Amino acid sequence: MSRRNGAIGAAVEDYLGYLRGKPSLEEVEVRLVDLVENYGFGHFAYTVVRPPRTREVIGFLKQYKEGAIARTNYSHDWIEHYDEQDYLFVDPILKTAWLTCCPFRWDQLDEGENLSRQEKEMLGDARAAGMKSGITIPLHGPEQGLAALSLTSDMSSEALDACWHECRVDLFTVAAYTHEKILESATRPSEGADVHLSSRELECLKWTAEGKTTWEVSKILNLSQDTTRFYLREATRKFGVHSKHHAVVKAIAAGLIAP
Amino acid sequence: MIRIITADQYETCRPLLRQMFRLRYRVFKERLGWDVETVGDEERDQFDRLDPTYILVLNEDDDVTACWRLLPTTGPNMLRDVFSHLLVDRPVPDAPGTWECSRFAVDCESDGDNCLANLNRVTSELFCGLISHCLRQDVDEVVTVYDIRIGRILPRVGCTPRWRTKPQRIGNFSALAGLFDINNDVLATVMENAGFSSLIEHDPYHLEPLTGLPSLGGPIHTGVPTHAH
Repeated sequence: MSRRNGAIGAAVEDYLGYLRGKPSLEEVEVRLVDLVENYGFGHFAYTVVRPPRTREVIGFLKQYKEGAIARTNYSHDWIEHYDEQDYLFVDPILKTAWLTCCPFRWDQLDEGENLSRQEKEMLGDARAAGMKSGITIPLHGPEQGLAALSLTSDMSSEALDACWHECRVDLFTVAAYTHEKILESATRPSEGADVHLSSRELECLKWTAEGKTTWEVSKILNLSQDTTRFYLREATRKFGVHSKHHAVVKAIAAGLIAP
Repeated sequence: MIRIITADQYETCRPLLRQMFRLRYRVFKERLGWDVETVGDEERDQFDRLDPTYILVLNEDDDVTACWRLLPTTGPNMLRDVFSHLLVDRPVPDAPGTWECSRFAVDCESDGDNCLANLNRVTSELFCGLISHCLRQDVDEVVTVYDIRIGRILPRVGCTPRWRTKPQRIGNFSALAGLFDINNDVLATVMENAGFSSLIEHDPYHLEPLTGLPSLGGPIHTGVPTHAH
């Protein structure tokens, strides 16, 4: 890979430029497969472990089993085996993705006595299915969401050693921008997350969330008590609920107020 | 309106709980001048860390005007651990069907001249909330340590203790311990004395969790007040 003063690889720069041109996700997938192949990875799996709090997944991504939302070019046999074995509930890769922000290698997970018998079994099965080497890039956020981009290869552990140091920064960048693109195009605001509050309504709700009474909110915002009451009732009505405290819960769930 | 908050609802009810802790600060720290633990402008102590149930009374603005804290007598509670000397020779209550109430507070400052009338009404509402909650939980006795001034309004509310101890001086007030029977008759008496024809209780189970999995797009539940009777 050619480098300009430690910057990311030229192929990655090209890929980011391509993303800016508003390609479809299907087109992005083709480019992504091409790109990671250059780094020695033949297969990928982009898994949404938890969507952003106020968004839901549409199209492109496929719902595999309960809770598993992914886009992948893993072999059909492996996907079926993964499903049959209920590996979603065992998978040490997804578990690790919750615990770290940095890319990690699957062979590092298997070192020492960290894994349960089932977890070791799953990684063993993956190796047997041709995924000799694998890496995963956890993608945390926004809005408490978690996705993971896994790349697999039939290269040996030693071969991975050689490329790991060079490639992980590039692939981390690729993963982050791809993640952003997918969130943008393959998710939409979930029901109830598209309530629009005026800035006054939002202010009144925010102070209510802090445990302030209507009277206190009116003093803080220098409004009359009746006006404050009006804003709170409007916000409550917009969420289709019957108490301002329920409206606060809705507003937090919709990401309008920080929890 | 009566609002019961059990520990499983603390997450969704943080704003209400904060209002309650601040109300308690105003009442116990500022007005009564008790030596209580405080955190900022909130009054909280070790018993609040034991997942108590809170009985609240809310006004028309859904703001907390009165509160009470409920703990089982089978675990740590104020009568057993702080005020057991009030009991003198009586055994310390310790039974699954007996719960302990503490931190009775009413915000009557905001109602000016109507303070006493308001105090009576809100106290009645608090008792109704307590009794109806206890009935649902198969609790038939409640013990509490109370100020003799509160003791004076209890007959009017319709609650007379089955037994009570002699008042003793604690700091700047006189307190006694009393045990109250909880049953449908008591509830009827309290409601009758207060002129309540029904109880408006907010149904908390229609609230959704604050965090966790995103909405699955199901129907939006509404917190329509339900009538307990």
